[in-house]
Amino acid sequence: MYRYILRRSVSGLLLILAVSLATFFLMFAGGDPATRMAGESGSVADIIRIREAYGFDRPIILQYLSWLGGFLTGDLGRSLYFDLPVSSILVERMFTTMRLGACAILLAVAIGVPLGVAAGCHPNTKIDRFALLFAVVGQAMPTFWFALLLVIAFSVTFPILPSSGLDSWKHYIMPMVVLSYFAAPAIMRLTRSGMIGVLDTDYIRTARAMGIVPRKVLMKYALRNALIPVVSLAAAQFGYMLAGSVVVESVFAIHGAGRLAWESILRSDLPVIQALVLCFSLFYIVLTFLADVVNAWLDPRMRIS
Amino acid sequence: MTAAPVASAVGAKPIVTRILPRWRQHTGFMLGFSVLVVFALMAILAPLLAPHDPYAQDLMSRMRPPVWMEGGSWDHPFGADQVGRDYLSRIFYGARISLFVGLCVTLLSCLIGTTLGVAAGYFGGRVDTVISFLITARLAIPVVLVALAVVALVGSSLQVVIAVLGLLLWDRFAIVMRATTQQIRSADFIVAAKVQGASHLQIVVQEILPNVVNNLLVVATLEIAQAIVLEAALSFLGIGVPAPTPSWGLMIAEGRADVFFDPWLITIPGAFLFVLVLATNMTGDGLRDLTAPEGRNR
Amino acid sequence: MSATDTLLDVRGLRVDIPTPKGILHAVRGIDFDLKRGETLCLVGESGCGKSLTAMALMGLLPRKALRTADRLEFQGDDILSLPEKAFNRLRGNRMAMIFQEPMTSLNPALTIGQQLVDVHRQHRNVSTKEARERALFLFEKIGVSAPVERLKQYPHELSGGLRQRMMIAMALMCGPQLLLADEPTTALDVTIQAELLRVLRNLQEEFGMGMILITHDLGVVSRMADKVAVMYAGEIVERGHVHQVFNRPSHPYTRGLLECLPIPGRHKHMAHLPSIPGVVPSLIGDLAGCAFRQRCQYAEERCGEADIDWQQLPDGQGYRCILPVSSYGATSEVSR
Repeated sequence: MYRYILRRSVSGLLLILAVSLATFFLMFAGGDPATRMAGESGSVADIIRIREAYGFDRPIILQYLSWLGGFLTGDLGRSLYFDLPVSSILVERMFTTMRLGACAILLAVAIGVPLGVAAGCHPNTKIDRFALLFAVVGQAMPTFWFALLLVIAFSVTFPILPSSGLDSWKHYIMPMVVLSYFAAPAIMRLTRSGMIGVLDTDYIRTARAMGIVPRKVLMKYALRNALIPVVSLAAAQFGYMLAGSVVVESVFAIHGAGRLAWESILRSDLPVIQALVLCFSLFYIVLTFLADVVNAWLDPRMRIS
Repeated sequence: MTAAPVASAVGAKPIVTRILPRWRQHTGFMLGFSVLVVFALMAILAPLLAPHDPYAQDLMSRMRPPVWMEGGSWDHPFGADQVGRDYLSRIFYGARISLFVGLCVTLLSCLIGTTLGVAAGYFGGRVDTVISFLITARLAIPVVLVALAVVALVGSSLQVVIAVLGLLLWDRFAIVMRATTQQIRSADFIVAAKVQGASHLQIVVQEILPNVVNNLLVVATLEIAQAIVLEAALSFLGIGVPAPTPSWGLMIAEGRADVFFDPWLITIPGAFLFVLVLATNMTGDGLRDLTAPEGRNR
Repeated sequence: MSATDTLLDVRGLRVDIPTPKGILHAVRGIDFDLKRGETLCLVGESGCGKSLTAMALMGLLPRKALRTADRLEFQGDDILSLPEKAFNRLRGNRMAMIFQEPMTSLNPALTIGQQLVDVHRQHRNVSTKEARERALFLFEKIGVSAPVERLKQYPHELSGGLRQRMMIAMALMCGPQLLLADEPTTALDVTIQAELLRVLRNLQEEFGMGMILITHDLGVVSRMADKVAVMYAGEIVERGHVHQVFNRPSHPYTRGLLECLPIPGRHKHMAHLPSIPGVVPSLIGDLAGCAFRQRCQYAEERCGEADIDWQQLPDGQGYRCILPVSSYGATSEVSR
């Protein structure tokens, strides 16, 4: 078990390294960063000054290493727009986004798993068809349009929910619903197919042949095995959801990391964008790592392979 | 979504002969595919169908509501937008953008993903380790954010959007193709081809690709839907297809300011986007069911 | 014999499965009974309905399948119309079953100990400690090495033979009166097969259980059975004590099976083992006449005309054939 976690940590670190490299080179996607920073009115002298100030004249490997070194010590660079350390802007925004994301993924699991279990236990019945409809509609619904539909319905037509900000619990309802409806269909589908697969196995037949009561067969013998892939999926969905918060936060005017990313992109505030991309990747990597650990606990076979 | 269930690739018949006898019975596939055909016709025939020039501004008809609302007229069945452009015409031309982006992005990402996936599955060993690592790294990168950033840095245009999305969305192709190729790598007919001295390229092109094409088609269909949604999202955020191109995402963004008084500016293009994505997904799901071995309806 | 000696009384058991092509009559009205401490072997080719018969007795048929019977009594109680909840109290308790696939029949996510304790505590009001002691007691009887460690292990850490021993232990946790074993050794190595059969035989004698052993292997039958029922196409075609059926097979199918049995010295000059030619008829719809007639070398025209009556001999043997093999003077003497 510990060896498995160790091995998994090493590959996680390698992954972080690879992603940081990709993120770093994002800076050069639009050509020379110094020219970009100087803006349209910048003179050649300005460009050279910026180049020296930010160290763009150094070999690219050195630039990367110093950026990565800074990142590891908590120095995420300096925002060009705010002229403040990126970390001082980021922390609070990240916290907002994570809180909303955590609420949403919990809601998504709370809807997706029971619905998937119900559909998987009774395939081709009314509940199964309802679950399928729920999933198909959810997977086709563009999040930003769904968010706007909710605003039209609950802020305009029946003004019962606030349409922007995140000041009270009421503000959380619509963003949470939008984000969780983005994640719930896949969770539901995987739970359903896992349940159908597991209920068909020999070991469930054994449990039934031993007279274990149906509720226990379902909850202890089947669900545990069916949920193993769902844990990985939910972790990945949580990661995507955080990264996808850029859309929802812009619709509901929430001052989170997603909105910060969008604003920074519009302002070409590269250090902030880089820091955000790397942070979201890091979350994803950490989340999938945690999911693997949980799965190793759920599925003893994984600890060996 | 994780990898799509892999149909039994070994000895699979061509997709058409497998589907034809059964496709009529699959309501979801029939429905989705029919709607998809309608949208495709709408896109192709947009110049013939559109009652107006989608770019022509007409200040007299600014914010004219659709025909079923008070003040609407048949001259502009879906109304006209903030600068008086005919909404129906823009919807028709918007279908072009969506489908064009969807197809081009999928083509590009299919090329990248299939190459990587087949190479990983066929060669295995170190090649597989490296490519699997690449896939994992790609999954860790937030697509929307990076796409937004790159498009903003490089400059937004239709070509840039297609290129960026194509370079980002190859993961599912790679995952599914890797798994499928692994499954058939040790099949007898591959071994036989090797014994006869066929080159790697010959084996991949002549033996492997024909057997993975079913899965490829399923993934491609679902990927088109994903690309369409992402293009709309980027355009909605103002960093996708540049104005005044009639993109549905852009139309929704432009309608946001009037959400309180004229919500139809948002609901109409959104509904078309939703139905197109729904139909594409249903076609993909249907293809998966139909190409799966008999009796497996998940 | 008194009625209480009869463990299981089955009359006219049928299993019907609706399919797109029509109703598949998988088990077509079979009769048999089983007494305390007796072993009945159900023999037949795959697809003849022997596994479904066992599943029907356990109430574990697939959801679509329909079970009917004229009489289905277990220890004098009618279990045909028993509600599912009450039936669940029988399963794993008074009747238990072990399966063919030891590699997949145990839950991969739970330790052996958890699974054994769950079964015992499901049916008996005992503590976890008492349940573990019961498991260790059974491990000793079954011959499991390092018993205490086994309880903490997961199924994937054990060999196939050990897993099947764990299945046997699980089935015996509550001391059932009836044990159903569906091809329990088929998936295992020959040496382990012999060992496990011996264990089953010993346990059955020690606990006085009735056992129904399903197998296609007549070698297993000769070592284990008191009584044999030969099944073909969903029907019992011959039934009787093992020595009666082996020494005096009356149905041509039984005789064919026995001739296919490899016996050292008997097939010395043959290039390969004999087999019964032909295929089993489709079980969808009604079968008029004898189901075996297409493959039977003695078949006559009247074999296909009407349903064949059951011929009951006074000594307990019975068969479903109008032209018993012995009447042709072709009685085969097959030694056990």
